[in-house]
Amino acid sequence: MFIRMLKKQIAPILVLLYGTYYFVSVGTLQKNDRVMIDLVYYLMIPLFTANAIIDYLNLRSLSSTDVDRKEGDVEKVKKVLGFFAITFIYLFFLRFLGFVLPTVAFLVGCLYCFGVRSVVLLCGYSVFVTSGLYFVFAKLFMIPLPRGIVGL
Amino acid sequence: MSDFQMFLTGFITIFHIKYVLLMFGGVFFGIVVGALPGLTASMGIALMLPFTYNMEALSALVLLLSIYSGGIFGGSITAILINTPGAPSNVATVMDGYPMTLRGRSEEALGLALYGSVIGGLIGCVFLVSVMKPLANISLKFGPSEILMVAVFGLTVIGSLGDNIFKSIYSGLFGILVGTVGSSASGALRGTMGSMYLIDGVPMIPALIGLLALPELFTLASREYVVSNLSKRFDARRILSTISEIVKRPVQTFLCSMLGVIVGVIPAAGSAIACILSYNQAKQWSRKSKLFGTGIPEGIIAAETANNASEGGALATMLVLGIPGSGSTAMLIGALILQGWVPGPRLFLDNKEIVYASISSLFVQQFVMLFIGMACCVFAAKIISIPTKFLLPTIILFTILGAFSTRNALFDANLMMFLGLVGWFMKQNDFPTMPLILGIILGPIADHELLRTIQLFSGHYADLWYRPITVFLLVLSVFSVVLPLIMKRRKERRGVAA
Repeated sequence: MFIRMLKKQIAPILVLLYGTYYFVSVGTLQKNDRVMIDLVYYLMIPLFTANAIIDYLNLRSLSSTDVDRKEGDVEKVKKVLGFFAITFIYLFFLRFLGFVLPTVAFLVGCLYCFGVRSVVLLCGYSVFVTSGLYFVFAKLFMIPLPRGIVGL
Repeated sequence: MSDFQMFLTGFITIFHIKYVLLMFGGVFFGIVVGALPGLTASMGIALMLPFTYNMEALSALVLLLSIYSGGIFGGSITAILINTPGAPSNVATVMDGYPMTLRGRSEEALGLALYGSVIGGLIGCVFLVSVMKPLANISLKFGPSEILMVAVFGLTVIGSLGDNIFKSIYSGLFGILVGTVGSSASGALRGTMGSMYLIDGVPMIPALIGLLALPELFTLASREYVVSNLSKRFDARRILSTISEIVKRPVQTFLCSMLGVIVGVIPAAGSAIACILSYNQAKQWSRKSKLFGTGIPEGIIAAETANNASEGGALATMLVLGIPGSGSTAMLIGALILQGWVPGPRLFLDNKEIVYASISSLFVQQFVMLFIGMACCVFAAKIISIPTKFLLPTIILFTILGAFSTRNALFDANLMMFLGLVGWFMKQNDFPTMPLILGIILGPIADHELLRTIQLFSGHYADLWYRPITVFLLVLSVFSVVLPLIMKRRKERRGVAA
């Protein structure tokens, strides 16, 4: 029960921790500059408490199978977090290698993860989408895309 | 010549092949730019601004206004189809548009957005002509305390945006905190963690895409298609037939458009606030208030009529007083400066004929948008028939480039991904993200105006009671919270009695 409750409270606790950090960090500023932050933070504390109480009561009334069903989504969570990780890696390489190469690699990687195995489809789609995006953003809208060391 | 006569004379000028082509081109470009996640109408205007340098003033205004009109509607297409608002002004469209798509009613949702936008735009235009001067003068009466109250009025909705009122308000407060990051109205830096990219606050577009679109996109990863019952063929006739849904709701359409015009007139309010307020009010006063957010026509009509009608209001302030009420109108003023016009109250008096002709073109643009918007909807609706394995990576690339292109900073793309993670995490823990977004949009406005109000009335807060608009908006905000609660109680009592 305690662990379930803790899991449910991770999001509000993180939000409150951020709020506390923010509240403390602006503590040295003049009162006028932090009046809204103070007000919001002071409102957050009772709401956090009320939330926690409601969650506790809800958890008590839930049967254990209901909770287990939710806990069975671990695979889905892993998949989503993996996708986020791939995208962050892509963004990291975008800075150094420019737009074209990392984008083709990102698309090939994503399609492969989604189960596409045909080499023609993997390469063809990735090159087509990358060149399309490059044309729309860099040429048509004249938005400078990351160039990196390759220059593209 | 009276104002109305000048407006009618404007049509004679505007029905020249050159202007008609500019309108078609501008509206199409605006819809495309608006539909791309991260690119807004303002950006569309900015992109085309250099091309207007060699144009005569009316051509430049017609082209840029067409982009403006098309851009606001364009954002609703992706908001409806893939839960990704093209711009902040379409944030409320998502709430009922996307659920309609998930239920296989994307054509109706797109049709409602299109007709709502056109009718809102037309009403905004009519009011622009008829009450332009008095409305613009009212906008001068909006000081810090009035704008603060507009933001507070908008924030009154956050409690009703989720199943659990406490979680919704908690999420909204978190949004306000995030929204206040950056430089305060007096220049003090807050919560930037040393990053210069956060000095201007958390950028709106990456926040919007990250919190709204990414969590939904990652949820789609486990599905083969966006919509599970894809067996039904896309039927363009269903877009046409949705006009009846709007005809059935003339009062709501008119009132939401009016609210849009009024909010548009207020400097610094803009179409995002117009659509949020309109959605809020439609929800509060509707008999179907519980169904809002589940995919009902009223929600889309409220959001889309108001955001397009606000365009007329914003133009009234810009044309009569020379004050840009939003990012897009600031760009338009930039275009007029390129033409050698001087911003300010003389702008309207010195160039009356061109101004009225451009308003006439704004009227015609709504009909142009009807045709081009219809074609774009038919084309765009095919998006949901693409398997998610191809659609998902492509949309994510679009969102990354959209976030990046706002300031040409990879920081924004990284921030978008981080906020996507936050949004997804909140969704997993049953915290609604919409109040968080409202907090991010309205929080900084409330924060800035609160500081200015404090500075203005320091020690003399009783003077606020002598500002009728402030008091009126304060009372309205209180009513907006209290009345629905009373009505809900009454309904429950009647239910028990029955």
